[in-house]
Amino acid sequence: MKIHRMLCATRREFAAATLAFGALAMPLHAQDAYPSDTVTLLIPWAAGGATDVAARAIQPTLAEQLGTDVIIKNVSGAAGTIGTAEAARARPDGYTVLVTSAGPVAVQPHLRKLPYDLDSFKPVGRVSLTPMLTMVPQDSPYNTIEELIAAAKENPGQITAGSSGAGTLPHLAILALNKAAGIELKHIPFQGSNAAIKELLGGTVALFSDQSQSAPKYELNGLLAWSGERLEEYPDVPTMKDLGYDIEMGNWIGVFVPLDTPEEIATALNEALNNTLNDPEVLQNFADLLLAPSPTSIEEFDAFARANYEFSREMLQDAGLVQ
Amino acid sequence: MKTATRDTIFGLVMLGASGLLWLETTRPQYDGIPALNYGFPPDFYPKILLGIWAFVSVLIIVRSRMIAQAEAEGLHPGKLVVSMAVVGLYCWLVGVIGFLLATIPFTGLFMAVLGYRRPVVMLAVTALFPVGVWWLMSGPLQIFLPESPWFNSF
Amino acid sequence: MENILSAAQQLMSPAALAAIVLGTVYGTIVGALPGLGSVIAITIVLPFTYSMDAIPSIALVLAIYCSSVYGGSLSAILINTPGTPQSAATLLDGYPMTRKGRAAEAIGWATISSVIGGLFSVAVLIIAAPQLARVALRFGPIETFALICMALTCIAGVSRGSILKGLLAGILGLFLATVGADPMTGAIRFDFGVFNLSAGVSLIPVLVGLFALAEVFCRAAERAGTPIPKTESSGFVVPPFREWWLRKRTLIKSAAIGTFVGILPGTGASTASFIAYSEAKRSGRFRDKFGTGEPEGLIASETSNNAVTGGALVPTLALGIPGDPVTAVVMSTLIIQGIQPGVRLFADNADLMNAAFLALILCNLMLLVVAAAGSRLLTRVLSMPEPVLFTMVVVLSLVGSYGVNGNMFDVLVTFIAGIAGVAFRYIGVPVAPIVIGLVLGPIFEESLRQSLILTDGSFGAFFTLSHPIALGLFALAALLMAFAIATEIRGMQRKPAPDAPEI
Repeated sequence: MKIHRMLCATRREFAAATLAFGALAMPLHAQDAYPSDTVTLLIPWAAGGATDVAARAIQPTLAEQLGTDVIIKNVSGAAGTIGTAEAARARPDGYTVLVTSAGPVAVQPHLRKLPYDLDSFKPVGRVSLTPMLTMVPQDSPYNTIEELIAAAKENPGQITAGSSGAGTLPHLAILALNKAAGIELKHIPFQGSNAAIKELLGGTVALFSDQSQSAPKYELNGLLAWSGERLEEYPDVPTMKDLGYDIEMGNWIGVFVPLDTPEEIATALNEALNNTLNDPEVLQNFADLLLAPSPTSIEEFDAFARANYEFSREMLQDAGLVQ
Repeated sequence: MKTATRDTIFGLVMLGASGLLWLETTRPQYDGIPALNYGFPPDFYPKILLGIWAFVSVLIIVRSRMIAQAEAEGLHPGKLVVSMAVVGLYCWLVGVIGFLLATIPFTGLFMAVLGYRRPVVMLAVTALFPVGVWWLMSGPLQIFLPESPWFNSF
Repeated sequence: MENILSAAQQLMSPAALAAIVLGTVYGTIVGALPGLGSVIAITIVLPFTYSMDAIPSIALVLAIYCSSVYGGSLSAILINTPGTPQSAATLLDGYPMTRKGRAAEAIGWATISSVIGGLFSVAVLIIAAPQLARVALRFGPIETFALICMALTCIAGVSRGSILKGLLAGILGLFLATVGADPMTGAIRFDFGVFNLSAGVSLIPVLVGLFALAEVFCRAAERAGTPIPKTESSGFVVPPFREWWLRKRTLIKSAAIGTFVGILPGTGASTASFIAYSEAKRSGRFRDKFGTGEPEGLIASETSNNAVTGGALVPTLALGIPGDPVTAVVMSTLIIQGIQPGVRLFADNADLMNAAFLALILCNLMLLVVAAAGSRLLTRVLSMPEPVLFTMVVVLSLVGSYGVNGNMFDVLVTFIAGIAGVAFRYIGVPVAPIVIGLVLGPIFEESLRQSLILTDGSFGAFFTLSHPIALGLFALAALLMAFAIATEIRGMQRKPAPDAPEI
């Protein structure tokens, strides 16, 4: 019967749209209290990608929380930089909101000249933070990270590590591990996590670092956690800190608005976002999608994003990748 | 134009294009980053393509000198230019005044350009079709088309 | 058996049936709109499925998936524009049939081919998903590279009579695919300082421009407009069994090719249809008539691209690894509804899986119903006055090319591709190879360079016995290529100036 509900909802929308036609012809955003109009979530990735799916999971509840329509616009291309550039150019009125993963805002600005930087945005809040885990297949010859590092030292440049593309978090993880352990892994980039996991299972690459939830899903063994503390599910897997390196990394999705957006709008969005992330239905969907909801205050997220930005610059600089 | 002349010109243009693109690949940004290249810089694969491109272009020129002369199929240049100009103008206008405001005049105008002369049908199509597409996209399909700078949502 | 009965019972609920019917109609329409494809069709309904029951929402998504792949063939046949890239090979014979006034017949061939391809692949999915998924894992970069080489031979197959120009067009397509970020290093290539070009040249705008806009421009400029013969709106035409029987080998082969290519993550329906077309062109009974409106070409393309649907669900369901954005969206819907794809899928979710399989079968059959009901209406589109139809085509092309990435730059690309398309037609350059090159280019370069990293830079190491699958595929690719060249040479000897413009 739920399909019936879906039809009704859409029909109601249409009716509203038709009735509101007169109102639609009003001049842009009347000066009412925010939000008085449709809020557009701009996703710099294609429909169906991880960030897009997460955004669509919060879309209905966020609309309820804001008390307005929320729509999703995908502007994809060039590792997310095309859409992020469009978001940076948008009117700073809170009606265009960037929802993105770390890459376009915290990594790409170091790799090439872009018409924006992290400073072009005002942070709103974090949607999710998923810890990273370095994984190997179950039949891998390496049972611990120490064994892997020892083998890599014996055969420099021979052990292959997959990533989901140059300048992605899994790639940064390879660079960080290389630097920390003084080893040299052979990096092979693939288009996205799924492709990399397929090659990991098929034996083309020996290891891959990605969100920790992938390990049980694909029956992979965890070797190394990139979180601050050991993961609950993997009490025996050491963290980078256990190995003596002060490095923390995680996959995150965050929300930003253009820099000049008024403070009270950012606050309103942060509040709505955090309420959304406490909604039981959203929590259930996130659990199914292997996303860990991770609400923050504006200040926390600001500091977090900045730290991330600096960390990736350091990693890329050391590897000689900063242009 | 004769087919042979046409093909020779085509081959020469393509040969020239491959040369220019090859020049582009000599710029430093195509050297890549040693740590990521593994011996194969970003210009490795495009250069292979450009090599084949140039080779095939030469073959086309050679062959065009061998084939029998025939008159190439002609197009009506006036009509072609007008229809392209109208569509080009339309594409530009969509970005400036939004989809709906640009499509309404375009629909009427382009039917006329294509030689259609039945005012009642033209009026009906001009009135209904753009609004219908706009509604379909921003309603059920949730694809948001360019908006005008003056109005909210169209 | 009991499981299947209970699954059938669940699927017979009004909500689930409504989902299948509505999903099929909606998917067909979105697929048929130039530019808008399966991914957009499914993501649009994604938020709704979050609040729906498991079985209706699974049925809805699967119905949209199958029907949107099919829908793309309708616009390919009717207005010479593939609605989705998967249907690029469909228009090679589909549109010529329309130009001969046989559109209804072409829709009949395409529909039934699609249904057969779809059902075949579902059967394979049900019977052998876990085993085949392991085969998919054996396809590393070198094997993928070999497979793409095979698909590229299709360039020769569609360049009848002008193989040099076709080859050049194919190279052009491959080259266009290199614009933007280098897949290995992220370095930006051939952007000439234009920021939007750093995202590369998108496939859909080029496709829509080369075919739809160029067709409109050419028809506008033809000196003596030869009107398309009117298709009689005779409703749904089922081609007689005798005709099918003559083409049965292509039908079976294409279904197998489509399913197999679908199983390999990251290759996709376009690759499958190019390989199937290439193979049919080599071995089909009516191969000499390909490109002139021969149903066998339609069969090859449509059977294989719809057979990909079931095939692509094999790694998606059995490994939890979707091979393309479409199956990724399908997978996230299934996950929300409690199906956890992966190695334990069939043990843990037997009930839901049975229902999903039955839904897939029903969805494929529903295509027949939708086509039969809509055929008359569809062919009536062609009886509109040409200026009206073409005006609508221009508007829809623009909407489609804008809609994919939400970027006005893509509209500019469409317009330029439209002008280029006219020039290519005038010069007699076939444009289908450009699309083949552009579709296959990214994965071709990527797999080549990944393989080269793996073999420490040795190209020779691709052709060793340590990669037997790759070796076999390379041999097949060479065979297809040699055959295409031999045909071309024979053709040249027969008539000295085979220079007629091809589509």
